[in-house]
Formats: sequence, structure tokens, C-alpha cells
Amino acid sequence: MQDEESLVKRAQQRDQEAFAQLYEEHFDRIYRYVALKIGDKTEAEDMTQQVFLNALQSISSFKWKGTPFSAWLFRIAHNQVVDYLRKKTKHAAAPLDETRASSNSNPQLMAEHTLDIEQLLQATKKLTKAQQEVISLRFAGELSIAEVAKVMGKSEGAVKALQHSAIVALRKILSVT
Amino acid sequence: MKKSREFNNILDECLERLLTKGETIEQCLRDFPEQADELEPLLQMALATKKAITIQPRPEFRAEARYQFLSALQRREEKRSPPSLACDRDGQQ
Repeated sequence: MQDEESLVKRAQQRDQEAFAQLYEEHFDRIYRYVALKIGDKTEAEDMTQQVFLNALQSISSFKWKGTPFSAWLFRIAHNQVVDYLRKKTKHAAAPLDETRASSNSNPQLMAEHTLDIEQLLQATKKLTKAQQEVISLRFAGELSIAEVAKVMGKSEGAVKALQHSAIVALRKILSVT
Repeated sequence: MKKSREFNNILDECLERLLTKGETIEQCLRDFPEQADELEPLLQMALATKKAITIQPRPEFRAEARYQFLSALQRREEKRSPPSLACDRDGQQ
């Protein structure tokens, strides 16, 4: 696989194949990140599509100054999520799709590592905004600590501390014993 | 403070090994026996989180989104087509 920097440079020079490759490499991760952040798979589909169209429009503005491309792309996704959630709070909250009967914690299930996405969505809502962001970027977006730090504008040490506190909080929320 | 920073680093190292290198919790705990009791439940929680979050986009959506994206790429290229072609198009309109 080509290194990301040369791929991005080619994409900036309007190499369609290079941009298509970047798209394939990041598509699922962006989708998971958005889905976890907004808790709605259908909306997440539309938004994921828009993230890449926005990236296509603005890729010429991307500067490789130590910021990985993935951090830049997730920043676009983050901004769209923020806009979406801001608009959504002005209206009645839409239900999650594929909502299951109950999202109460289930220690036995947890002990068997069968936490499902609905339980996780409900649990993450109880985290702080910064903890939510770290969990979304690290686990759904599969970014490294360094990349998460770039997206969030925090130090790597601060992100590690948030990661720790978020996992502890999730565990408490889900009542794992 | 220093201790918690050290633990945060150990936790992150274990998460990297678990989530990206496919190692097991037991392998990580063996390397950090002093922190094992504190680490284990957190690593279990992290692993459960990772498994829950591994959702895939619907295949139909993936195909449609890919088509839309490649079409947008193509349109972008067409906008850069030689001026003579642009004139022809204008002329036809």
C-alpha cells in the first residue's frame, strides 16, 4: 500500500484513482464514527456521503504540516456532526433507528462481551462530550492517540487520560461487576 | 499524578496491542502484572466496546455512495476540460 502522504498529494493533483483509494480506506471508519456520534444509522449514511463530497471540494486546502489526512477528514466529519446535533436539538429528538425493546444494562451480557450497539449508544450519551469524542474517534474511527489529539486539539497525554476516564465511566454506566 | 500518567500510558499500549495487533488480554496482563487487576476490567470493557461498534454500512448504501462519489469526481474533471470543449458546449446551448 502506498504511503498516505503520496496518495494525498496525488489526490490533490486531481488523480481520481488516488482519491478513490483514500475514499475506500476511510469510508467504513467515517461511517462508524458518525453513526456512534449521532445514533442514527440512516442519517449516518447521508452524512458519511456528504463528508467525502466536502473533502473532495476542499482537499486542495489540506496542508501536510504534521497533520495526518485522517485527522483532517475526521475533523470534517466532526464539524458536520456538530452542525447536525445543533439543528437536531432545536427539534424534537428523533428516535434511534433499529431501537430495541430496552437498552438497560445487562451485566451478564456484558460479562460475556456481548454488548450491542444500542446499549453502547445509550451508554455513550452519558459520557462527557470530550469522552464521547475520544471513544468515537478511537474505537469507531480507529484513530491512533496522536491522530485523536490532532482532531481534538489536545495533547496526547490529555487524550490518554480522557480515554481512561471514558472506559471507566462506560464500565460504571453498564454496571459491569 | 505521575502514577496515573504512567497507568494511562500502559492502558493505551495494551489497547493498541488488543485493537490493532490482535493480541489477547492475557498477553497484555502478563507484561504488566502489577497493574493487571486494574487493567483487566478496563480491557474487557474496551474489547466489548470495539466489538459492539464494528457495524458495517449497508451494501446498497455503500454501492450507491461509491457511485455518487465517483460521479462527483468525474464531474470535477469535466469542469477542467479544455476551453475549446467548453466553447462547443456553450455554442450548443
